Amino acid sequence: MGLSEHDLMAIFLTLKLALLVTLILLLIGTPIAWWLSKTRSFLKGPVSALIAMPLVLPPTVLGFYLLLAMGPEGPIGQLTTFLGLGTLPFTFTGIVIASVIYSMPFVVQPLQNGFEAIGERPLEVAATLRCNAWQQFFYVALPMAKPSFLTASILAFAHTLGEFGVILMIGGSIPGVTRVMSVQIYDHVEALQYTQAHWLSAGMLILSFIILLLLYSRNALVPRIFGVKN
Amino acid sequence: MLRYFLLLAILSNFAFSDELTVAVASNFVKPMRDLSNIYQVSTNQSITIVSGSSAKLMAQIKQGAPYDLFFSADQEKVSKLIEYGLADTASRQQYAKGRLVLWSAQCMSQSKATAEPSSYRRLVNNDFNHLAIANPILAPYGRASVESLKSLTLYSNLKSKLVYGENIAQTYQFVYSANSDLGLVALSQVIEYLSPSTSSSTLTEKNDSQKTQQCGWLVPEHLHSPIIQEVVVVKGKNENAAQKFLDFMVSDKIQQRLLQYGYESF
Repeated sequence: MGLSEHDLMAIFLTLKLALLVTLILLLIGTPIAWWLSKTRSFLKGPVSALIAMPLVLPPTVLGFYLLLAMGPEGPIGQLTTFLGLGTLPFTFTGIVIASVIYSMPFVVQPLQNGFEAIGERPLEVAATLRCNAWQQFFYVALPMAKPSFLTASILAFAHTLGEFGVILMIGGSIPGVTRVMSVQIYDHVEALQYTQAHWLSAGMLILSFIILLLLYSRNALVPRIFGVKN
Repeated sequence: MLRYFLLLAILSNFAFSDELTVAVASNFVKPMRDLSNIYQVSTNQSITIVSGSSAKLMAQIKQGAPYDLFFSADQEKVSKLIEYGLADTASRQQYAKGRLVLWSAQCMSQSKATAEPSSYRRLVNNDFNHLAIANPILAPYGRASVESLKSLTLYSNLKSKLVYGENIAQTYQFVYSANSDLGLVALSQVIEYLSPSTSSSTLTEKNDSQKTQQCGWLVPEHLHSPIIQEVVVVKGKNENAAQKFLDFMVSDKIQQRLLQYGYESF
């Protein structure tokens, strides 16, 4: 087997990061997407644009500003130091926060589309049956948007797996803390350790294919596996 | 219009053919920029600089990167290139000897420098959050850093506080942005912050009392194997022009100047 202890650490760390980021994004992204799908506020445009920014920006731009903002002189850094958390670069929490920002559009956009596709009518019908706003959301909107949640989760997970630039800039490549698979592969390639690079890269390739296969054959496969109706 | 574009295409082609592309280890970028400018002015030879960790540049040359010269931060990677048959032994030369400095963001403002405890004291007393070093596998300065920490018998204790820059430039950036409170960087990167009296060759190893007063700390050479930096001409169509620039870089006149950039000359 060509995998070293550091390689295994990187794999475990990457999966842990992707899982955690997906969960956090579902928690934060759902209310944002719900609000965006319902609101007529003038803020809708600016908020949508802000969330979609990571799609357009080079990761280096995001990494650069996060490094400055989370550093001891930056606003986030001063807040976290004030709260007794220290500064966030070179920590697992730091790359979790960066990844959440970086993958946000991949969760909010499918969810928003899902909520918008439901339309007003099912919710109005629920309202006539004396459902309050919370019940409308949990008993009507949520089940109807289930496929969108699946898409959002898969995309968030997959996008975090493939993250590189931002983590390279703020992570500091600490084994088991911030040295994720993509960084580990980069280090292997630079050091001409092609065998190890192959092991990890091939693993990534297969894993990514399986994840995308799940996403794109959703209509055929996923309902059978997860009991989701499309 | 078309004729104009054709002319432009031909001209730009000419410009490309005698342009030198020089791969430089990150620690040497600053002097390289200045010195290659001098060379460009006097000889009309245009030079493009590409920088990165020595290991990365070597890997790129191995994969056919169009570099004409390779300024490594060590000797080992130059030997490897020759072994791969990508460079000529005859052109191999030592061009500089680098030094490591323990540095912190505080060292950049002189007023704070005296008030804060010295970097050396903070390192030894474990009074810091992160120590940035260059990746020891990719960057010779990183390897020298690990060797020094081991010589000081601090390595196993501090290992969990180490933060790795992909090359010495990123390592310095971590310290400069104060995200890492301490860092082991190249003397050439911080020489401008040192007063002229302490800079370059006159910045010798201090005794213990001086050590504790100074903000930055020049790592004594006996703590790590020497950082001897070598250059070699990469085989290709520009070998002659590359050799000329190499000769210029190792000439007495230029070697003298390296002192002020934080290197010892040969």
